[in-house]
Amino acid sequence: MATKLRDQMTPKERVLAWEEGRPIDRVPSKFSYSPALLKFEGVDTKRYGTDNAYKIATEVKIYEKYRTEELAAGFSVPGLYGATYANPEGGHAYILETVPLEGDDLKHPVITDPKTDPRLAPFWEYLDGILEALGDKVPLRVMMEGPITQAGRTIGVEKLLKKTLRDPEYVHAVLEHILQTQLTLISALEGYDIGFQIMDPVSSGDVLSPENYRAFAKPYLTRLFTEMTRIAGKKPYLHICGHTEKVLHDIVETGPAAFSVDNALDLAEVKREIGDKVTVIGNVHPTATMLLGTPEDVDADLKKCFQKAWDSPKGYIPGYGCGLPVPTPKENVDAVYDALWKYGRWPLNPENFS
Amino acid sequence: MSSERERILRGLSDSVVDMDEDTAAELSNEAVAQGIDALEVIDEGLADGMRRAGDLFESEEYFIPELLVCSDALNAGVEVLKPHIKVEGGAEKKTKVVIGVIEGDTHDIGKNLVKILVEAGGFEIIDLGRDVPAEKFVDTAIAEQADVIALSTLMTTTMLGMPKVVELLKEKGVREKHKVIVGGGPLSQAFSDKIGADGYSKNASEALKLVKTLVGRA
Repeated sequence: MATKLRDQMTPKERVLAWEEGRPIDRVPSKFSYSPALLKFEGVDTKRYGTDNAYKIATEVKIYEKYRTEELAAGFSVPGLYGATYANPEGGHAYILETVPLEGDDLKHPVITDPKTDPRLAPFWEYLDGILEALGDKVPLRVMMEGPITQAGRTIGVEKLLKKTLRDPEYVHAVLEHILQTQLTLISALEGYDIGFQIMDPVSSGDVLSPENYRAFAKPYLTRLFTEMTRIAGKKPYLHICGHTEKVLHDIVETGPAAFSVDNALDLAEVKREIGDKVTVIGNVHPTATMLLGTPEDVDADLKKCFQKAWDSPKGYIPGYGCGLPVPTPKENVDAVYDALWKYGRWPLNPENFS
Repeated sequence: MSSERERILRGLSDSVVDMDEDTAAELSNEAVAQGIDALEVIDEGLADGMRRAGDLFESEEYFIPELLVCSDALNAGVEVLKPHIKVEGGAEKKTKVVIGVIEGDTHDIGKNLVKILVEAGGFEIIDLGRDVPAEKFVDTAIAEQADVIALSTLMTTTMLGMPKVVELLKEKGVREKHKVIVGGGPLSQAFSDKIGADGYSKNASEALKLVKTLVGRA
């Protein structure tokens, strides 16, 4: 059953107006883009991953049907270092082989000119194409992982973690190298109408102690954010998975505009702790609600999210807590859109979700 | 002699907690020279240290890096002791646990932590690694007569490989012979119940308790 689209603004108009405090039709949302939508539309995922023209045409089709509220384009930093990926049908790409990154590897840059490097040609082709097709209607965020996560993917997370104890200087050298690569990449985005979004799962409290977060994650992410903010003219969005309660204020100090949390955290607590400094994003449950629940559960979950976070001082943007599982039923995705209008109509009225 | 034995075992336990690979290997060599039974050295020395490290992890004094490096120290000792393990009779048959990360997912730190702590808890672990198809879990559990199958995933996109394991066990008529436990970021007790698994644990120390409960060793 297709949901009738009620939006009166494009996602870009909406988010710009929202940022500037002008009237909007409903709250902007961030129900992240997912392979589940590709499955509903019968998209050839292999071709989607390799054929830019096909990928762009698919994005346009999906936008028209689902009003996706952001576009994404991303770099593979580990790939530049020689890490190899597997691309399973209908799933997420993952690293097959890491690289040792020792000695001389850290003396030379892995990329000097992103604009002419043939490894990045598909990225630029996609970026230009998608901006031309949808850039006036939908905000585009260049996605990247934080330095420590990219370091983990490149050399292996276990090795990285052990080295934080055994050889912290080595870890700093790797992080500095990865950061320089990221800075080189984003320098080529100057002048583009884009934002940035960072995912940083390795910096999660489930992986790093607060002490290690402050030593190995925070300083490098802060430097990356400073440069991203300069290039895009606005601060990036940040998502970190898992338990981050003990470092919430450190996270704010890295300089994101918005912080997206998964289901390990309570939105009310996040609002209380840091809602006066960053926009709060989250956290409709991707598995309990979206995968295993019913449309009624979806409605109830969004209602609960609005109850908890609607009045967060720097704003609240509803979104999933993590990636949407591919086998999520379509009626649950449709129910998200319905609930968004039910509870998110502007101006927000707590009577609608009390 | 007995105080010497205690000194070595205590030292080995400490070397694991202190993440000291060299001392673990040295004291293991001493234990061999003293003729102390290698299995006892592993269990009362090295594994004891790993259990203490597990307790420190549970109380958040240790984090994942510490546990991984403690495990390196344990392995340094085990490497020395392995050739000296007496295999003839007497040794009780250990309860076997088949463990792995479900197909499509290569995040294996959580699985490795469970493996380290469950092994230190006295179980035999058969580690299938990561990106493991459902069939392989089931075939291995049958061939090895494993009591427990432990499934791990970090990704919401791959968690539905888990019910496939339960289904396959049913198809082969061996569901009641193998307990199935699940764990990983996106999972919950509700998910475990829904797919008909025997248990869920939210972290590695709880996984050990869960395995013990399920096989009646709590």
